[in-house]
Amino acid sequence: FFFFFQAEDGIRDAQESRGLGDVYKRQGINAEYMGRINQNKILKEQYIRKMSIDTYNGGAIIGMIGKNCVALACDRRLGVQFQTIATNFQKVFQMQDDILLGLSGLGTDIQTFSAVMEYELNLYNLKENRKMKPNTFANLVSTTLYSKRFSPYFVSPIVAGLEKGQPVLTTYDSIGCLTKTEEFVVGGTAAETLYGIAEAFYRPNLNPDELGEIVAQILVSGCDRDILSGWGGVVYVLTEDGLSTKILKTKQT
Amino acid sequence: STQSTWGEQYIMDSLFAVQGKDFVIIATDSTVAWSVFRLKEEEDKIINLDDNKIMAMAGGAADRLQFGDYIQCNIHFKKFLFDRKLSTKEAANFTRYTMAQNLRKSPYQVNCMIAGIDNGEPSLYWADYLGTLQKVTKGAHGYAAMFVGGILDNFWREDLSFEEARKIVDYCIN
Repeated sequence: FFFFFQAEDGIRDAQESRGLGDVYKRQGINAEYMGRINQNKILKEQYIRKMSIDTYNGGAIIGMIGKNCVALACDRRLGVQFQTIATNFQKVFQMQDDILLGLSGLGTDIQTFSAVMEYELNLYNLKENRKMKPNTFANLVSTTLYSKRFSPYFVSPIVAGLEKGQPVLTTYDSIGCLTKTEEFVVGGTAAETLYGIAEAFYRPNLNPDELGEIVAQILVSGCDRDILSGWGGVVYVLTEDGLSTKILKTKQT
Repeated sequence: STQSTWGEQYIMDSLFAVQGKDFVIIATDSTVAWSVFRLKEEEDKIINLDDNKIMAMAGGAADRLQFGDYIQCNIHFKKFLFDRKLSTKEAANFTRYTMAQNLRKSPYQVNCMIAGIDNGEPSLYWADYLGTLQKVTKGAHGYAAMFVGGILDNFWREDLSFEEARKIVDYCIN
């Protein structure tokens, strides 16, 4: 035999080699990483925190552009990790009659951030005595997020709006990096699943009815495969004529 | 009581609540524990925010008492400030605002449920220690949430009479 020493934060543990190679190598890199994490309480806290802060409450949102219209859909679940608390949690907020703000991520920050944006919008209306343009609002979301750069809101916002009949759709990371898109965006714990389905079903220039239908199908399929999202959905379609809202039933899990 | 594992602490107190036709029932456990000791068995973890609303809290005694007193005094203060009683919705949102404000400073480790009757209409709010607020018709915190969640989902329906709700609560406690 030979012994090798595993150095862990200054503690040296002698461990017998099994001759077939380090046992961790057989289980893969992840096991060694977990072993290291578990031996250090502070690392473990940080690891758990990093793992779970965005997935703590769960959720799914998708935005898509059609012909002179834009759709934003979200699921309705509020959970605490794997336990479901409510099935009617609001994640899309109508900021103005031509601006929708969809939020996924940590529940408390969804509620705080939507209130902060509503406050900013109201202040703007009072100061400038006019409505805010959707593109302006999209930029405001970005700067508001960045103002908390070192203690961020744990949300992934999507802004959907109509400016002079032209659809606006933007998405951000949690510290405000703005991405404008002409097609679709997804967010939340179901994002990976939603990307695939959305890519398959998306077509440009959908009319409002088709858009609502397709976005609904994508959301339902996406949430079906994500345990942290689902329990119903809501689809908002914004057109020049106004906002239409539809509530969906998904698999009740 | 709480156990320190993560940076945050596991909150081990239990409470659950059921909304009926024109009433709300809230039940909490009454144990105060400190590591392996049971300090007290008859602790009242529900406070009156007003004469028509109550808040039940689950969490370590320190935060529970401090937070409870703070909310209670502020609701009382706002009654004079606005020259009218606050609705349950307003009280619940103020509670959420307080929790969310302190979240990135020194968070209150208190899960709570707020219940009230406004003009005969009952309402019940579930609030997480992070400041997530949701209006619900039934809910639970702590270990109770795992055990009674199923019972509440199974038996609850709209417009429960007091006897029916009382029976559900008995199922949960037992």
